[in-house]
Order: sequence, then C-alpha cells, then structure tokens
Amino acid sequence: MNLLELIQNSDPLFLVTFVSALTILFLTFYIFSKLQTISILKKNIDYLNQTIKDLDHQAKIIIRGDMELRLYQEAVEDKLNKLSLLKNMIFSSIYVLDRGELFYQINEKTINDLGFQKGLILGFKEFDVKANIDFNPHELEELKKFVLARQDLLKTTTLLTSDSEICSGLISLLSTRNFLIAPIKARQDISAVFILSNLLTHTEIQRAEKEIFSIICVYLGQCLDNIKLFEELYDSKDALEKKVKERTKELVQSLREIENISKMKSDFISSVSHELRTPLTSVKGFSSLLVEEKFGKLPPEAKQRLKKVDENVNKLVNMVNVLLDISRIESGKMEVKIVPSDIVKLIKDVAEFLSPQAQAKHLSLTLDTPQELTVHMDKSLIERVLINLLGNAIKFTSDNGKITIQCKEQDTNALIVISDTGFGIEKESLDKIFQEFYRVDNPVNREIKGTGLGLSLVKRIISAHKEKIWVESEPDKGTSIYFTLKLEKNA
Amino acid sequence: MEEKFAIALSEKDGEEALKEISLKIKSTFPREVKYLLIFFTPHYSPPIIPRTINFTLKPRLILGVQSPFLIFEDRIIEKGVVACCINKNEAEIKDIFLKTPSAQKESTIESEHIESSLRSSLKGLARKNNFSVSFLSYQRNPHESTRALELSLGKMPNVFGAGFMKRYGAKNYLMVNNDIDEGFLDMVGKGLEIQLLKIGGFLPIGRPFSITRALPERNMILEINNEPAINIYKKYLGTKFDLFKKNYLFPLYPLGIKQKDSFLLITVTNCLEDGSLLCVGDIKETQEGHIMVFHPPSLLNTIKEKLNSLSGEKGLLLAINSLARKKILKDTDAEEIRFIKNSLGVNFKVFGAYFDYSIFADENTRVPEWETANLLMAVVK
Repeated sequence: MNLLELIQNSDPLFLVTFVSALTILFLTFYIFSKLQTISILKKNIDYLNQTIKDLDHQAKIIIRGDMELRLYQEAVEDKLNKLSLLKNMIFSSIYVLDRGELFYQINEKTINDLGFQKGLILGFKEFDVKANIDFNPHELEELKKFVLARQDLLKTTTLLTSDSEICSGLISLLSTRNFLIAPIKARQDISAVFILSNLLTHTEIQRAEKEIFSIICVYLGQCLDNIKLFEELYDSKDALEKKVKERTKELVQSLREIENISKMKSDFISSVSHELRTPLTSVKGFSSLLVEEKFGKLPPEAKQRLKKVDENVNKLVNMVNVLLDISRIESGKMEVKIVPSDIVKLIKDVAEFLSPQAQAKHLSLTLDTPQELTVHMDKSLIERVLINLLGNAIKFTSDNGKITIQCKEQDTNALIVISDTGFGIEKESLDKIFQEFYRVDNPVNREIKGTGLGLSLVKRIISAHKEKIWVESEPDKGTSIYFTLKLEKNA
Repeated sequence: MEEKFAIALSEKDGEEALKEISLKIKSTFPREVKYLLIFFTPHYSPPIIPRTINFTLKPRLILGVQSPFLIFEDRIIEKGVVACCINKNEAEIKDIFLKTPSAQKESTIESEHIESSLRSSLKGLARKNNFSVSFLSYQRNPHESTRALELSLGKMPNVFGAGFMKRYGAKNYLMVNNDIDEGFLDMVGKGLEIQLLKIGGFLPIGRPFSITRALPERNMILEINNEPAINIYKKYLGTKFDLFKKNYLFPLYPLGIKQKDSFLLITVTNCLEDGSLLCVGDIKETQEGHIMVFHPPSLLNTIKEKLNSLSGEKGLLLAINSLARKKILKDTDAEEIRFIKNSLGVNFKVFGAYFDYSIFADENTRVPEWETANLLMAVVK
C-alpha cells in the first residue's frame, strides 16, 4: 500500500490533524532557523556598525591630525616666508642710501608678504606719504588725523594693534579689526609711522606677524640712521672737498703768481745779464790790457788795484754767464743736445782737468768707475755739472781730505756720486742748496767765495735731461751728491 | 614624421616675450601656423599679444587666456607666456565666439542669453564635431554656464574648459584674435583625438553622506543627511571645529561626489550662520559623497595608473589645474607636474594654466560638470 492509498483510507480528521502537526513542526523549525539567521545578521550588523563607527572614529582622528599638521606646517611656512621677506628686504636695502629708495621697497608685494592688503608709511612731522598701498584718500586723511592726535603716545610705544582701546576708532574707519601701527625711529626720534591693515587671510593677527612687523620697523629705523650718517658724512666730505677746491684754487693762483714773478725774475736776470755782458766785456778787455800794461807802465800800487779789478770783473763775467745759462735753460732757449756718450771718459777728463787744484790742497781724488759707460747726455752741459760738483768738493774739503767720484749702473740708469770728506751741510740747508744765490750760512762759506749759482745751474742741467739729483750730507763728515743719467741700452 | 604640435615659453618682459614665443614657434613651423592657444600671466598687456604674434606668425586663429600661474613641461611659471600651436592637418575649429558680459543683465537672464547664443552658434555642431573647449571669466556663473553648455551641445563627449571665481589681475582677459575682453569663450572643433583624464589624489574618509537640500545656482549646500550641511564637518572635527572655522580650512577638505572611476570634487569656501555651505563645484540634490583628504601616495599611484599607457608616445597634454588644488598640495603641486612630465616622456608636450574650476564631460558622463581641486588633463593627439 502506497502513501496515496494510505491517505485515501485514513480518517480525514486524523489526516488534517497530522498535516497540521507537520506544518507546525516545519514552521517551528523554519522560524527557529530564521531566528538564528536574524541573530547572526544582527550580530553582523552590530559588527558592521561597530566597524563603521571605528572607521568614523579613524576618520575623525585622520582629519583632526591632518588639520593640525597642516596648521603647524602653515605656521612654520608662514614664519619662514616672513624670515625670507626680512632677509630679502635686508639684502635689497643694505646699500640703499636714499630715503626715497628705501621706502620704495615697501611695495604691494612686501605688504602682501607681511600678510596684509594695505600698507602706509607716513612722515611723522610733515605727514608726507612715503609709501601707500591701497589706502584711499579718505582713509589717508583719517589716518593722518589719528597719527597727529597720538604723536605723544607713538613716542613711547613700539607697536599699536587693533586690540588697543586707543585704536578702536580706526576699526570702523578701516572696516577691519586687523591692523598694526608702529613708529619708525631713527636716533630715538620718530621719523615715520608704518601702518598695516586688512589681513589677507581670514584669521586674526598672529604673534609672528606682530614680531616681524616690529623687526621691520626697527630695521627701517636703522636704515634711516645709516642714511642720516651717510648724509652727514657726505656733507662733511662735500664741505671738505669744497675747502680743498678753494685752497687748491688759491694755491694755483699763488703758483701762477710765483711763476709770473719767477718769469719776471728770469726775464729781468736775462735782460740785465745781457745788458751787463756787453759793457763787462769791454771793461774786462780794457782791465786785462791795463794789467798787462799795454797802455804803458803802471805804478805798482795802481797795477795791484787793477789786478783786483780784473779778477772781480772775471768773477762778474762768470756770474753773468751762469745767470744767462740758467735763464736760457729755464726759458727753454738753450738747445740741449742729448746723444749717447761715454760718461767715464768725461769724468776722467774733468778729474784730470781739476787735479792740479786737488793736488794743491793735497786731496786724494779717487775714481771708482767701470771701463766705459755710455749714457744719454749733452756732453758739454754734463761737463759743466761735473766741473761744478768736483770744484765744490775741492773747495769745501780741507787739506788732505778725500774725494771720490763713483759711477755705476743702477737699473736703467747710470748713477754718478761725487763724495767728499768736507765740512758737510746742515740738515736744514739741504733742500735749499739748489736754489739760486743760496749759500749755506757757515764760517767756511764766509771764507770761501762763491756766487750761489753753481748748484742751481747743475740742478737745471740735470732737470733738462729729465733726470734726478739729490744730496746727502752730514756736518763735519762730508757730502755726497748723486745724479742719474739714462743708460744708452735703456733709452 | 611631421610635427603636429609645438609649445613655447618665454619669461621675458612685454613684447620681447611675444617675439621670443613667435620665433620659437616659427622654428618648428616655418611655413604656416594654424591655431595658437596662448596662456599668459597678468604681467602682460593683452593688446600686444595678437599685434606682436601676427607680426611674425600670422596664425589662422589666436586664442588667449590670462591666468595667475602657467604650466610648461615640468615647471610652474609665475610670470610668462606659454603658447601651443596646433598644426594637425585634420584639425578644424568650426565655430568660436567670445561673449562679453553686460553689466545690467541679471544672472539668470545672462544665462539664458548665453544659452541662446550658444544654441544659435552651436546648433547642429555637436553631432559633427568631437570637442568643445570653454573658458569663463569670473562674472560668469559656472552653474548656469555649464547648464547652458549641456543644453546647447546635448550629450557630447570631450567637452572641457575652465573658469575663474574671482579676479586675478585687472581683469580675467580672454582673447580671440584681436577681440580681448572678459566673458565667455567657447570653440567647437573636430579632427583632434582627445582623451580627458582627471587626477585627484584624494581619499574619501568616513561614512558616505547625501546632499538633501541644495541651491546649485547659488552654489550652496543647505542640508546634508537632513541636517545643516556644516554638521558634516562638525561631526568629524569635534572640538577642533572652531579652530578649523577660524582658520578657514574648508578648502583643504573638499566634498567628493562618487562617479564611475573618480570623485567630482566640490570645494567649500565658507559657511553661513544657518549652517549652509558655500561651494565651488557642481552640486546636485541626492548626490552621495564623502569628505576627502589629500593623500600624496594615492596621487602618485593615480598619475602612474592614468598615464602609464601614454608613456613614450607623442602628443600634447593640456593641463587645466586648480588654484584650490595648488593650495592643498603646496610643494607637492610642483612635484606633481614634474612627475606627470617624467611619466609621459620627452615626446609629450605639456602645457597649461591654473583656474578656479574646470568643466568636464567625457565619453562616460557626456554631461558637462564643473568642479575644483582635481587636475583635468586633455590628452591631444
């Protein structure tokens, strides 16, 4: 019997009861399993909710951490930017020595780099606008009034901020709660007032902004100090230069006068010498003839007197000739023929020429020269130089003294030195001995006659060769006179 | 192989910069110059641009857009002129216009005006053409303008562009040949293979939210999850919210609206006392999104992932970068540009500029949307 037959043969009531029981059993199981599923799902949902909560919590931590990090980064960057601004400002203004140029550096970029939109630098005394970025004329007028009314306060403060009660009036005027005002002090006096207004960011003014602003004001003050110092220095330099110019002008004037006088003197000497030479020649001729008794025998006394006259006329002729030479050299009328010649030979000739005079005083005359040395010179003029110098050495050296003539190469020149063991020259007279008519005032000179023109002529001849002459001397020890001539090979 | 594109940069002053640009372009294309797109910083007077360029190059068309920062190869330029010359034979600009703003008109009327202008200008063009580029100055409402583009162009891919929310320099100059003004510049063309890419680098954090009340035309989100919109930030920031608000840090954490494979970013610029958020970006009610946090490793991964297929190829990349993104990325901004250039290789010419927002519709979306904080790139071949 199969299940269908069993159902058909069974009591219907039993069947209904049986099916109902089965259904209840099934539903019970079903509900139970669903309840289990729900319980698992609930657990999962709880778990997911917890996870989302955790994620949200993590998100909170991330966003807060990120925000704080960014704020720190921004603060650090802001400070670095401001330091960089300060550095750039110092670099660009370190050599600025003009007020206008200094304030020109406070431009829109500087104000923006400081974190503000508007900036103003106002002269403290005359209220002249040194720099203005974005303030309109009305704001400018009001700010001038504000500064004028608070001049005393500004003298005693370093920084005014919008928080100060004293600045409350400006808040409505500038339509911002963010502004800074600081004096720029140069040498303790307020030179200008710096005003910053309207922060570029939406935040409040930070400590770093106040600090950097104060530093910039102090720095600008120092720059103004430097500019003032420079101006003072420049003014004093200017005054000094003016004085030097005036003095130079006076000196040039004096020099011109001296040159004129010197020229007049030379012209006078030249013309007087010329005028004197003709009659002197005549006097000399006649005095010589008279002394030689060409016009007849003379009484011994007259002859003696005439000899004196003749000697003095000789001296006078000599003096006039030297004076004429000096004047010719000075005026450039004397032709100087500089050609290569052997200086050693010339020294030897002159030494030989004057050796009798040296021998007469028992002087030792030593030559310290090379075999030959060719220099550029006017031989006849240098001969006169040597005669003069050696003559002086003989004249001013006591008997049994020593004279040395040295000639040697020195760089591109020949150096000629005439040294003696004579009376020497006082230090104070050394720079005057080449002056015309100058004679050292000492007992020796009073005894030894001279015109005081010899060394002057020597100096002019050496100058005409564009060479140098100098003297070294010590009283009672002797004198050395040096002069140079250009060596032929270096000409 | 004949060159299709050339780019040039000059950082000289005034006319000298334009002369240098012209000579550089001429050295690549000595015979003919078809289309020239120029980005320039506010340091340059716009009228000298077409005058100087035409003196040497005489291109068929000069398009100019002023921007505070430019992109040239792997560099960000703060002062200079960047030019891109498109000389591809098949490239064709079908229509271009510069609509200058009229001060008297109300925003909505203005929008209708743009729309009607666009409709009459672009009628039928969308079907036959394959790209549309728009640039907008700050007077244009981006929401209205994007809707107008949508209505005029229909469901067209490769619609992209950019605009400003405020002035940078005296004006946000736009230029079509000798016409220079602020306003709305749009051009439609064909013959260029364009692929639009977006680079984000942001990660969504926290549980998703839903925008429940918004005023898109006024760029406002009133409610999120049926609560004042500001609560979304309050919830995550807790006690730090005051510090956050005081320092106006909203732009650092944009709202990201989930799209197919990216996030459309909406930057919050401020909040109102009633808890509403003022935003830059395409807002729609019922959109779901997250708060986004910039995550440098994701940025590099995204660049690698998106540009990997282009590496070593030849082409042009027009980068429309975001000024808000620049603020978020800080130093990473320059790194990003270097990384992009390095990923593409020397044969890809990279140029671009920075804007407040970008407009974007690709093959997937086909409806122009505007957003900020993402880097939009148009790969042109």
